[in-house]
Amino acid sequence: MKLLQREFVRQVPVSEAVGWWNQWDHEHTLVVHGESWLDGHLLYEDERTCIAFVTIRVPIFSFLTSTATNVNLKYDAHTMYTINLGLFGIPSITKITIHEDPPDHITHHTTYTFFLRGWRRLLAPLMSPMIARWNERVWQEDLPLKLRRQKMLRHGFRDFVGLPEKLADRRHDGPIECRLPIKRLPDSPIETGRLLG
Amino acid sequence: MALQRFPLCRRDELERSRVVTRWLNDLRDEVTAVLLDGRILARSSVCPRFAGEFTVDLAARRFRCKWHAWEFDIESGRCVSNGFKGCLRRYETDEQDGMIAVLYDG
Repeated sequence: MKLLQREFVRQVPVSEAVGWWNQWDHEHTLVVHGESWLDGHLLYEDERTCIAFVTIRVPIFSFLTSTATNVNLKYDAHTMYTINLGLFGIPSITKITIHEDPPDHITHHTTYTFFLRGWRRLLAPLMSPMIARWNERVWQEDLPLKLRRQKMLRHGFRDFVGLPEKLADRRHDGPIECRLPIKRLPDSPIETGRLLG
Repeated sequence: MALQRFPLCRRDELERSRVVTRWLNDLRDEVTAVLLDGRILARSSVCPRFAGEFTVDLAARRFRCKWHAWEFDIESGRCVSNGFKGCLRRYETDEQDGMIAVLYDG
C-alpha cells in the first residue's frame, strides 16, 4: 500500500473558535463551495461527531463527481479528523489542527493522507495536484467568511440575533466560543437529510 | 439620547449604483442603502444568522446571504426563506449638501 500525504499550513488573524465554526458549519458548504460541493446529506451529528454523505466535483477533472462517506471526529480541543471513503473507493484521513497564539491569530494545519492500494497507486501523481487545488480553492472561498465573522463577533454579534441594539455594546473583548454542533433552525435544509439519531 | 449622524455616501453615488454598502466605523455596523421607487431605504446588512454578507436583488427587492442563502425582504426587513422571526435593523437617513447619512440614537 502506498501512502500519499500532503500538508498545508496557513496563518489567519481570527480566533480558534471562528476556525472551528468554519470547519463545522455544514450548511455553508453547498452555498459558498457550490462549485466543489454538489450535495450533502447529514446522517448523524453530535458535539464531536458528524457523519454525512457528500457529493463533490473532482478538482482538475471537473467532469468527474464522487459521492463519499465523510466522518468528522473532533478528537480534542485543537484537532479534528475527517475519515473519507470516496472516489474509486480510496480511503483517506484528513487531520486538521488549529492553534491560537497570539489571541485572535491561528495557525491552521491540514494534512491529507490517502491510502492507495493495488492499481490505485498509479493515481498518486495525479492526486497530488488535485489535493493542492482542492485545498487552495476551499481555503480562499472560506477566508472572507472567517475574517468577517471574527470582526462581527468582536463587535458583539450574537448568532441568530445580530449586532447589539446599543452602540456602546458593539464591542466584545472577551473570549470567543464555538459550541458544537453548530446551532441551526429546525427547518434547516440540512435536517432534511438526517437519517440517524 | 439625541440622534447621531453617520455619513454613508453621496446621493449621486447612490443614484448611479442604486445600492451602496459601507462598514461605518463609528456606528459599528455595515449598512446597505438602496434606492427604491425614489426612496432611500437603509438597513443593517449583517445577516443575523452568523454575520454573513448580502447580495442585493433590487428586482426581487431582496437581500440574499452569500453564506447560507437566507433571504430578507428589503422593505420589511423580514426573513422570507425560512421560519426565522428576526428582522434586519432599519436606519433612518437624512441628506445634507448631497451627503446621505444614517441616523441612530443607540
